[in-house]
Amino acid sequence: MKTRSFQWGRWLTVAVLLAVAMVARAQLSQRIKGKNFTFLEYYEPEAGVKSQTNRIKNILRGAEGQSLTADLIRIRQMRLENYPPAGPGTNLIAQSPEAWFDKEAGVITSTTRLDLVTSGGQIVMRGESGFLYLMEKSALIVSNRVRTVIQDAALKGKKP
Amino acid sequence: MNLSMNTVGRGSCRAHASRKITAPQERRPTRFVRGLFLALAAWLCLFATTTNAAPAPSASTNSASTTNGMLIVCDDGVIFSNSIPLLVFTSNVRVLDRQSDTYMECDRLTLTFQTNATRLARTNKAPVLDASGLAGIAGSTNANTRLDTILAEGRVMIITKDQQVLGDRAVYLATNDVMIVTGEQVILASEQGVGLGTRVVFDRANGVFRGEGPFTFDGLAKPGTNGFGLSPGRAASGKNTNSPAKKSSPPAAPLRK
Repeated sequence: MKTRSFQWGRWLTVAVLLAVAMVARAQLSQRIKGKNFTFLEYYEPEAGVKSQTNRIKNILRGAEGQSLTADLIRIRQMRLENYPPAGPGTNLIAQSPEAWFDKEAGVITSTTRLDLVTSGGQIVMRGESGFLYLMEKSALIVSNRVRTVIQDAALKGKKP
Repeated sequence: MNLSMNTVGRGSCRAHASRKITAPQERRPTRFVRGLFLALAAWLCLFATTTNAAPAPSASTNSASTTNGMLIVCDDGVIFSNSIPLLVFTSNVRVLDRQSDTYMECDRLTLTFQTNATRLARTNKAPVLDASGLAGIAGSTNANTRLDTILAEGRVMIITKDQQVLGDRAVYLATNDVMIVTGEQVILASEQGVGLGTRVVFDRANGVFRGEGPFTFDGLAKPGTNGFGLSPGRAASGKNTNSPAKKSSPPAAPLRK
């Protein structure tokens, strides 16, 4: 009788420890920090195309990444590069001191400064109050107080 | 000329007796010191060039501050889309074009850019197909973006050195390098007078406005013109146009002695 109750107690203790470990692990994974954060997104494969190698659409880098929830990642010293489906060069390069990346929604947001370079440096933009980037549509919405400079080459139609 | 001299000393000062005191102008840096300076300077130059050589294009606005391009500032947000290459500025948009010394204000500014596909279509060349056979996708890279049109809407005001235009809407075409200001009442003001019409064309290359279509003016004008580069006969051809020749001052009669 005594040994049977002892066995039950032992199994109960193991179960409790396992549950605590799982909860702790889940909470621990939500607070994980990592350096040199990198996230790659590729273009969707075209239907009916043989042996297509998917091109990179977006590269999201950061000096440090911290997962706040399962899908939300806080990125410090963010650098976003958007590439065209074909052809050389980048569509845009965006840099921000801090940003939040929602993996599930494919959205990058920030409330801090944004430095943006597009078209091989022909268009330079700086926003002071945050931005929103939709990765799927490759659309960027820069918040208030935006200052933009368009180089002469883009106006005159010269090649950069 | 060597100005060195020997000091004379006795006793404990004997050790210093043979020391040579040179004149200040003779205290030049030795070869070693000069070489050290040169090496230090070379290292500093090399360090500066390597640290400044950021991967191009870098997201820095320092280089943009010295450009002769177009500076655009707005209060509200900017929408940038890669799929349809355009930029939309909203709320209190101010534009400074340094090339033509032009300042513009409007409520909303939309910039559209040429893609490779549109460029090839304009040059009547066959578009390059990508692996999927889709020319649109293949030509959608805007790595070599060029401005196509600028659309300014809502309370448009353009100021040059000596002229000012108020209108409702302005369209800039990069192919012609002209901006067309339209509206129910487009006002053109300069030192020569004030004009009123529905369409004014701004030649960006020359920095000159000219009225088109029905156009009236009030003010001093040069003989034979209405002061805005529009001939009186052309303005008179408009339906609801006052004849500019009647309002303008008559040509001065030649003086006779």
